[in-house]
Amino acid sequence: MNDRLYFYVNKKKTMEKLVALLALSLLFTACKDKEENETEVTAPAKKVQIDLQPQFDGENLVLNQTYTTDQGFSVQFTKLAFIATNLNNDGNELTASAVYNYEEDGTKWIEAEADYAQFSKLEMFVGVPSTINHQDPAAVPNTDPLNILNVGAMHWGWNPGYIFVQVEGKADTTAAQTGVFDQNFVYHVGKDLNLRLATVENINYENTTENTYNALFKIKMEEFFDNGANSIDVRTENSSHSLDSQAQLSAKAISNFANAIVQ
Amino acid sequence: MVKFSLLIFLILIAFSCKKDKVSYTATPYNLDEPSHFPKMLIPEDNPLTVEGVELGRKLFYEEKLSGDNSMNCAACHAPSAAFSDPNQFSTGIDGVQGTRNSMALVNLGYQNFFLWDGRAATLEEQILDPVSNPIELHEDWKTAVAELRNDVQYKNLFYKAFGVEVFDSTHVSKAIAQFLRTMISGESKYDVMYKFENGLPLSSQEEVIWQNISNEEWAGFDLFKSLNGADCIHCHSGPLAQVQKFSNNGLDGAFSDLGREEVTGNANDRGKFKVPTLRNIALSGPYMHDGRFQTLDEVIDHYSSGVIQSPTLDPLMEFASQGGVQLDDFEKGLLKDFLNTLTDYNFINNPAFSDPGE
Repeated sequence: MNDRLYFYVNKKKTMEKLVALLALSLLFTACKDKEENETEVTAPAKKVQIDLQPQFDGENLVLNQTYTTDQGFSVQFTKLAFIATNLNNDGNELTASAVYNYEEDGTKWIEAEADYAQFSKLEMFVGVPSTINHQDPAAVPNTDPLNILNVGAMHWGWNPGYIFVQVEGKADTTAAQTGVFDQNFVYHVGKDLNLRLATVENINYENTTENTYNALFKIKMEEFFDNGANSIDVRTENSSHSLDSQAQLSAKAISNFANAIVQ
Repeated sequence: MVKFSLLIFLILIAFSCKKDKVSYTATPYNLDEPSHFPKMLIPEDNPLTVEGVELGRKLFYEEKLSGDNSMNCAACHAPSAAFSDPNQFSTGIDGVQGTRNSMALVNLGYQNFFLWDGRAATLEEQILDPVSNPIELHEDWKTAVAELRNDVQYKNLFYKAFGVEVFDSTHVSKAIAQFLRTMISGESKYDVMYKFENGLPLSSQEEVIWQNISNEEWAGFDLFKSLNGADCIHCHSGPLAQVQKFSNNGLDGAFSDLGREEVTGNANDRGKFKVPTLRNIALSGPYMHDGRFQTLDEVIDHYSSGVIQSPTLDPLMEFASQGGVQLDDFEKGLLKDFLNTLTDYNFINNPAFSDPGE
């Protein structure tokens, strides 16, 4: 092979190798590889979860199950629901509002991103303060518990506002306690003047997951009816829709309910 | 050889990069919600698009969804009857009647559950049921979809709506759901009354309507809201004219139709049914889950003196021990005048909800 041909052959082979190498390198680099960003691993946000368990005389309350009041009347609860607002401890807000409905949600109540250490005590309104009680519930953001789609039946209308507490059921008020539930009871308490404050102190939390601290509150429903001077006689005081004529009963009902929230 | 290598090199360049997919772009649908309504929650996996709504509307009137290609959704949800059935029970393609009255399709995007017993948790889920139900459209979904796939027009419409060439029942359901979510009723006389009493601004058109609301209609509204009057508002309130719950409203003492209990298995749900909206109620008879009442007069009579007690009776039926709220004839007339204000003629006659034809 003469020199010129040899050189040409060599040059050609070299070119081939270069092209192949270029192709291979481009194959690996032509696609924009995803940059391997070094992501910082951050700890998950701390959460506080508060559950709520209605009870009657120390037993977990079951809807439509019979319990006996101190007066000897058999009662069955069919609905327990309330709205809490401004849940906080010394100005640290846990959550602005929360709707509780035992029938629909069981014991599940609040889950918020918060440090449990800041909430050894919790204050809340049972009800909705007058500043927002008459707002348009349709204009409230969808994620807000006070939106009309979330609050469900707990809203009368703009003027009267939200229904703070709903306790419904039936009672056997017969003298012989025949087991015939002759009387329904309905306590729908709202209106600005019936707003109540509830406080739970010395809250104990359980660390249930890596970042979640859980507390369990109770609502002692025996105290709804049986409460000393504030007792409610289900035989004669079995209905309130917070009318003016029902003011006294409404006040008793919501006070008893708010005071029944404990840990 | 160099040329060959260069060719390989070019081919590698062309194919080595991950090709960007050619994406379809559906047009977001601008949902016009009344100002006094809550914002509708749209599922993330089925956003409203112009193309989806158009397809859904066509499918709503599509007879291929029935086993013998003779019926469509509108057969039991007629526009002239406020998208309900004027018959007590609907009759399917095999001539078999159902056992419950067809519910009116209105404001479905604001509902938390569907059907009288609430067995469908989402609108998309509910839509799947009538097609395959043997007493309704009685069609196998596979067959229905195959018929649609054979139609070039549908192939194009499904691609435009969902970017898919091979669609299935879920796409059909999603499209119809999108259409149904646009069916919003919020322009009745009741809405003007609601806005007025809550201090919301009225448009010039609404002002004209407001001026023409009669004293009887206002009085009927007061009775409707009064706890010592008709006391309807506990279950029929707000812009939706309903609350989201199940209720035993005193129709029977014993139940052949268990209602919600059929779904939950809970005896405490016996005889409870979904509280329906009162929107367009004057047009959507007959009434109740079994269509037993032909007229609004019969409904009013029931709540006035026909309530029957049973263990699961809603505690809010507080006057059940005396048969009901005991309205006199004058009050019944006022209440009926008010119920007529819930008719939204703009909704009933909206061409966007009518059969688009071929």
